[in-house]
Amino acid sequence: MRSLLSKTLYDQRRGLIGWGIGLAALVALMLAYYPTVRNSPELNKFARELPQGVKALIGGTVEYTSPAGYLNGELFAFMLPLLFLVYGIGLGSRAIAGEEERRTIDLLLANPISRTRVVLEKAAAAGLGIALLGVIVVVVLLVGGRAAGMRIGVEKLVAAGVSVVLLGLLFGSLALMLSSATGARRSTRGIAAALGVAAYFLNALAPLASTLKPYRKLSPFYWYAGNEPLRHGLSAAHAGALLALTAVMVVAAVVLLNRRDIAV
Amino acid sequence: MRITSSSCAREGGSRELGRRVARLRRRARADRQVERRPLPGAPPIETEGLCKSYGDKQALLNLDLALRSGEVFGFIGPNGAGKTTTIRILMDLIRPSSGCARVLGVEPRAGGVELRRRIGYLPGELALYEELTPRRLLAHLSALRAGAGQRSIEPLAKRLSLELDRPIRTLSRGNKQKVGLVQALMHEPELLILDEPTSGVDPLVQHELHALLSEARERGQTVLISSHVLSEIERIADRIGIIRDGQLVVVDDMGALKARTARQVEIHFSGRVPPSAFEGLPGVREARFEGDAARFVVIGPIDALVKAAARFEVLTMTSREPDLEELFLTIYASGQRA
Repeated sequence: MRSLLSKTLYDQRRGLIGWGIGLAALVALMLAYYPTVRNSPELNKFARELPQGVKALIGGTVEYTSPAGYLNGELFAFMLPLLFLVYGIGLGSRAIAGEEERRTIDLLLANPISRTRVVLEKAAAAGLGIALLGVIVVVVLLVGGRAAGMRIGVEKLVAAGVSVVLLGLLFGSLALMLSSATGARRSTRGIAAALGVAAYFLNALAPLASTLKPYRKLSPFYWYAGNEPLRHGLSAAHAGALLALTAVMVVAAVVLLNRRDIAV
Repeated sequence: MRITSSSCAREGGSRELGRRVARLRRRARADRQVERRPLPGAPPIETEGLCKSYGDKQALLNLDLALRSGEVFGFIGPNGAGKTTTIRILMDLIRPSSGCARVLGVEPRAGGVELRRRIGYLPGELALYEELTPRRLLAHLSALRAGAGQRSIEPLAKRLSLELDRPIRTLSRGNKQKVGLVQALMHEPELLILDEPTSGVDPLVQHELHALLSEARERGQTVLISSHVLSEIERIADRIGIIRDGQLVVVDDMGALKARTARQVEIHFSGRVPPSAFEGLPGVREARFEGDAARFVVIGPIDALVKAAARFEVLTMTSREPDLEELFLTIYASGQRA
């Protein structure tokens, strides 16, 4: 462990292995069901007749039994963003507030390492962890999708994987910012999770409610899914918006941690 | 000089103003750069009117402290007196409400990374990465210092008899404290700041720590060592400062302080002794006689008392060091005169 970055990655290892296995299993399971779904066109009718509200939450505008429709409905509309959010928020809230809660931060900051570097290396380690999970999802999709007879472009799967990673990074950096600002791990986790849920519903329900419609673009979920990466690939504007917001949060985390007292 | 707000530039909107602010900022940065270089002969630690408050609670009140280069300075006070607050300001973990501190000639915040390279710090409430072994943790901390101290880990661990290869969570409190000591000492920093280093360690380790600190002093390192127990550091400290309720009560040479503190002396004789034989002895403040025993409170040398007692048959004589509370009392009592 030559650096804080490598130590933080080392600390993540167990969680990362567990999450990687879990995500791979989830994706593989969903793919295993696909051949059955593909041969049941009546499901399309069923999906079409779902109430508007439910359809909005599941997301997607294509036929349910198409590869893009199925992957979106079962993984990318809800399950994967939720899991990446939970993982990202966990890492982000632990990054600074976790050290502070365990009181190890005095020992860490006594070293010739600036608070700025602490935030950046922790952010980088968390980013690498989230990205690794994204790689696992995409690899399982590529390999398993072929086995399940799923016809969908590699670039579409990669685009969806990148999008969900970017969403995880965004909420991870939100938690990192709150964690740097307050040093309180639990409330950081709570607030970030609540904001995640609110953002999800705002994006999903905005098309149905005229009062919400103008605010849809405030939701990161719009920038995550609004472009439908499984159908249209990665949009530079959407990915850029998520990345830019992430960068702002990390910078804010640096500024806020540099300003305040470290709790005893 | 530091410019913290650039709002004037944005609100003004004028190009000229923006340029002027940029120029001022550059100059401020240059000033800070100059400040960063330690002044030769600057005290290793210096505070002026240092205050820290948490809400209504005043943790530090106008603390003026100056350490001399190469000394071991004992920082004494009861728990909650403000020792850790002071030390955490010196380490830039917290910022003062007002007043200023300079460590090795620079303000802790401005000194940043370069300053901390030259300091070894043992936190008061030491918490370690429990899942690591001491060897891994110390190697990691040394790596954060660009490898400084890597070679001292083994010898230091041996001297403190610290096992390096068991997970830290299985170690006793004293052994964890040893890990903290090794990481503070290993890179032989110019300045050692040790917050309650002797808490939880047995007398043998305390002895070894004193030896290590003596060697540090011989090498010219300056040591700030805090404790709430006087006896733990009186042997090693050149000077001590006593802090109480966020204020520095006294700073004095250890020897001078001891000379004017009251100690209790208890003497058992083989028979009753006449109290009159002990009247008017210099330094004796109080004398109580009970049967064959006599108890005295003495300030300064006990020479006169010993010589007076020697005229009788003495069975035992014990002299107890004053504890912190008694020390405070004598200081407050003598403070009126000083």
